Order: sequence, then structure tokens, then C-alpha cells
Amino acid sequence: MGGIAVRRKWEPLTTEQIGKIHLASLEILNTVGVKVKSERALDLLKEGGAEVDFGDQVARIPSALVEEAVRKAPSSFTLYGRRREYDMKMEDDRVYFGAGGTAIYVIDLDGNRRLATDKDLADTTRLVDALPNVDFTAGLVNPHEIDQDILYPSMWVTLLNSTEKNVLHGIRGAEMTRDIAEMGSLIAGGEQDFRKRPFITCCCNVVSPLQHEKLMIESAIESAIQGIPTTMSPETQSGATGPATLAGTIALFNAEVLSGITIVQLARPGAPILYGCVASVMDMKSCNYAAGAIELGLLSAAATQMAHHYHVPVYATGGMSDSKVSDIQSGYERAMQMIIVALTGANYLHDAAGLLEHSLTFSYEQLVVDDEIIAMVSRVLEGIRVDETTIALDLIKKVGFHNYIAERHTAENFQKEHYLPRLSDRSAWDKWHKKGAKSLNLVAREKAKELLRTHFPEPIDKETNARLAKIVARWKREP
Amino acid sequence: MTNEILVEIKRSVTNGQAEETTRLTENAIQQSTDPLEILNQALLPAVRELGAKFEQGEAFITDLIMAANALKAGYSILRPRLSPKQEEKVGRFLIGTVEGDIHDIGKEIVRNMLEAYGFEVEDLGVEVPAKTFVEMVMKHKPNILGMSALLTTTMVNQRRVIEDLKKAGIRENVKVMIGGAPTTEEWATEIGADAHGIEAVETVKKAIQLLGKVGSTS
Repeated sequence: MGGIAVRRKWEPLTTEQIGKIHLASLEILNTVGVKVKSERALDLLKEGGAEVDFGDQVARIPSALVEEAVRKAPSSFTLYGRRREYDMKMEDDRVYFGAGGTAIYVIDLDGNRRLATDKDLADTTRLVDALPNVDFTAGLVNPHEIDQDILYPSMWVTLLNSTEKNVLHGIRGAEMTRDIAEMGSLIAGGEQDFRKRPFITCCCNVVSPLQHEKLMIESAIESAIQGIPTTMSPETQSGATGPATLAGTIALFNAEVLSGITIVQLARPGAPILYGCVASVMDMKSCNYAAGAIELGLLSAAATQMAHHYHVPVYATGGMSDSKVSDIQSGYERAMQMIIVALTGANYLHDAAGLLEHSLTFSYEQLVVDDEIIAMVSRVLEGIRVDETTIALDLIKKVGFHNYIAERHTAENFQKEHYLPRLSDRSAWDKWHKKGAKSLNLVAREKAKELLRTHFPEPIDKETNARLAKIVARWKREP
Repeated sequence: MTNEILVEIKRSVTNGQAEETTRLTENAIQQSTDPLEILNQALLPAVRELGAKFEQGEAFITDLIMAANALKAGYSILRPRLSPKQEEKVGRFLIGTVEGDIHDIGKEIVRNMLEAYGFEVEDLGVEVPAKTFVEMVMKHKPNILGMSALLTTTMVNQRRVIEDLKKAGIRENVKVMIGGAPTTEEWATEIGADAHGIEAVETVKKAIQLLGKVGSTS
């Protein structure tokens, strides 16, 4: 499990630069403002002292209100699992890694790309549950066969049945949030139990530039009221929905996040909220969101610094690729992104496992490979221990010009100091060839199958599931 | 002399220089250059060629849109001097993002491209209810209706609109294209759309192809 506290962070922005960006964001909020497509949110802002035009649905937020909100937002809170060992402390520079989603396709266990199903949602989630280095999960894939009216509640039920780790997913509005909270209470065995240890996180996105969509912001507000932590997460595309210059995109999404934190803290002061960032660049040749761009890493690194500046835990992104398959491109794009973001001390580092094709496809085998990448990045975060045991001066004196291979010190320490890969192949050519000369994604695929054969989370009982199904049925609409 | 100025106009469009294009076009008009020549030998080819490069991955969307804007700037100078027949558009396109969805960057790119390639585009904006799409089809009588959706939960509205067009008895009068990141060819087929648009220039070409079929029972 993750939660390593980074000791020596990488900080691409200087304090002065953070200050400049912060002031720019405040000016954006004072002058341009944000478009908030929700009466409820606009009322909160108006009552809080913002200048609100209800006709245009634009709110200009004064700096004092923003700064007050940032002060109220908690700097430390827990995202719970249904098992205590899966609890994640969101604070300081402690880093957890997890899977992210809303993909449309999967690359399945036969290596075929096809539209995702509810079974895929269950299986990919269960696979996350089985992997030791993936700390949390999300609505990984959209089941294409589920009717869109009940899609989200149905996904929540599948998700919660398939893992005991914390689940993050979107919720379409306030009423649905109350229903999802009810689901959580049923599973936890009571409302008090659920409120004490909520194992659900609401994913709220901001639409760049500067727009809060109705159902999103209302789900964030209602989540705050229900005691469910929420993200506030823009997915700006530099060059398209944000300036082509990275600092401008950062100032923009920073303003967006600050406006969202303000709204949520007005709804319920002290509500746990994650400063979010899924920003990247728009690829100017394909017009696609460049999920594998190294700038995605830079932007999430900057977001982490801004969040730390505000003492608010951060929901950052790192570990995606634009490749359509688990190939070389997939390897280097995701690994480089993940490591630079992790080194800044991002608390909730998501989309770090499984995604391909600019986040449109979720791959079983890639998920397994990413567990390994996360473990390697975690090893970097652990750093180098320097003390008497590790400098091993007495040992060095004793061994002199011989070797260390059979020393007790070696036997006792190598597994603590060296990451032992579970997937990466280090064998000699002959041996590798004898084993079938398999490319790593095929090895990962076999491992995925093996894990799915053997690993099952603690089941939710039939009676509770029947009640969950009734909640889902509330959302059926007449054709 | 005429050739030189046409080359200059073409270059300024290619470079996305709207003000320069306006100035050069005005000069050309003053020097009695045929407006139709300016349109067909300078303005339009500039965008077409850049569009072809874009399709091959050799040009950037931002340059293509700036060129489209430069074309429009030049075209606005020509327009009063073109006869109604000469002014005739390739087709009429009604576009919008579906109900419940405020995402529009993809729609904006497509709209720009359609206009650059000679379509008259009526943009209904975002969060357009199904009822409005149907009313506007009846009002504007476009050749093609295009709908964008970025969320899996709002995609369903693309199907709703097609069904409402059928109920209103006007489905046969218009071609329907759909697009947006979570949409697929399969989805387009499933809901009875006529085409699925994903890439900017490719979408325009599909739209042009559909024009050939408007009014037919295909």
C-alpha cells in the first residue's frame, strides 16, 4: 500500500512563481469571474459576498472570500476503504497511487479492443482490488449496455461490490448524491458508520474555461453536506480551453479550483475537498486531449505545488498514454509522467493504472504492468536510507577485497533496499527464450487472468444488494 | 499583376493573417480584380491546401482555424460584390451540443471548418434541448444537423433528437451527423445517424458527401 511521504520534493515552480500565479488567479476571479450553471451555487456565492449576475450566471469572487475558503478547507483528512488497511491519509506530501477511468473501450483478456460492459467494470475493479500497489479506484469503464438513465447509480453498485478500496466516481446531481450516500450507509451498516468512514469520493469536474456545470457543482455541494469528500477538478486543454502557455493554463485552472473550493466551503465549512487537476495540452494535429503528454505531468506537478501552497490535499494525474496498445510508447509516456508528479508529493495520484488511447480505452494487461511501475516509482519516493546499518562501514572493513554475496547483512537487507520486480524480466536471453520469449504485455495478461481467477473482495450480502438495486431502479425513466 | 496579388492574398490566408487578408482583398477589389477569382484562386485554395496538409498530419489545427478566419475576413469584403448565385453556399448546417452538456471545443473546431469549406452554419450553442433542435430544423431547413456530446450520460440525447425528428415526420428531410469523444461509429449506427464525425477536416468531407444524398431515401 502507498502513502509514502516524499522527503525531498521536486518543485518546478519557485515560491515567487507560485505567488504570481496565485495573484493572477485572484484577478481572473475578480474580473472575468466564473460561469456557474446552478442557482444553488450562485445563491451560496451571493450570500458569501460575491458579485453575482443571475441572468448571465456569472459570479465575480472577491479575494477575501477565496482566501477565507482556502483557510477553512481542511489540510488533512482520510479517504477510507471498507477495510482499514485501505485507508488513505490525504496530507502533506504523502503519495497514494490509483486507477482512473471513464473509458469507453477495453482491451480485454484476449487482447481485443471492444466496448466495455458491466462485467468489465466489475472485473477491472476486482483486479485493482487484487493489486498491491494500486491504492484506490474509480469508475474505470462505462458499461455500454446499461441504459444511460440508470448508468451512474448502476456503476456505483458494481464498483462497490467489486472492491474494498476507496471508490471515486462522478455523481449526476444533488438527488443522486443523496442516493449514493444512502448506498454507502446500507453497505456500512448504518448512516453513522458511513459518515464516520465514508469509502466513497465524489468526482466533480470543472469545465475550462471557468465554467461549473450544474450537476457537477451540485454533486460537490451535496457531497459536502453528506460528509462525502469531493474533488474539484478541471481538465483544461492548453491551447484549446486554456492558454497555450503552461503558466496561463495553471493560472486559469487554479482560479477554477479556487472558485469550486469557495462554493463547497460556503455550503459546508470544513468539508473535505481535493484540489484537482487533470489538465494537459490539446494535440494540435489530432485535436485530441494529449493524455500521454509530458506537459500533463508538468501541469499536475504545478497543481500539486499550488495545492500545497493552500494547504489543501491534491488530486493529481500521472500515468497515462496516447498509445492504443501496451507498447513502448505506453511505457515511456506513463512512467515519465508518473514519476515527475509523484516527486512533487501529490496525495491522490490518479489515472496511474490501466488507461490507453488518451483515456478512451482501459486495458487489463496495462493495469497489471502499471502496478509494477507504481512500485518502482514508490521505491524512488522511499529514497536512500543513510545510517550506520546502511553505510555498513564495519562490514566494508571486514569484507575488504572479497565480496558481499554470502554475508548475513546482504541476506537481511537486500529485500528491504532493492525493489524486487514481480513482472519485469531480468533473466538471461537463453532462459527468457526458453520460457517463450514473451513480450511483457502477454505476461501481464496471464497474470491478470490468474488474479481474476483467485481474488475476490469481501462480498456484500444479498439483502443489501437487493436494496441497492431498488435505489438504482429509482432512476429508470419512461422512454 | 493580378496573379501577384492573388498569390499574396493566398499567402496571407495561409499564414492566418485576417487583417492583412482584408487589406489585400480591398486593394485587389480597387484594382478591379474579379471577386470570383479572388475567392476561387486565393481564399479557398489556401484553406483547402492547409486542410489537406492537416489531414496528413502536417499542419496544426490552430493554423487551420486562423486561416479559416482570414478567409472569412477576405470573404466579407467580396460578399457585397458577388451575385446571389455566386454567393451560394455548399450547404446549410445546423450544429449544437446536446442537452445537459456544456462542452463545445470540438463543436467550435468543426463549425470553423464547415464555414471555411463553404457551409452556412447555424450554431445553437450548448445544452440544446431536443425540442429546440427539432424546432430549428423545421425553421432553418438545414441540409445537415450535427450534434456534439462529450459525456456518456448526455450521448443519449443524440438518439432522443433523432427519434423526435421521426415523430415530427421530418427525419427524411435532414441528414444527421453526430460527434464527441465518447461517441463511436457503432453508436452512430445504433441510433440511426447518417454519419459519425471525429476529425475536423474528415467531418467536413463526410458532410459534403451527405449533401449528395439529401432528399434521397438512402
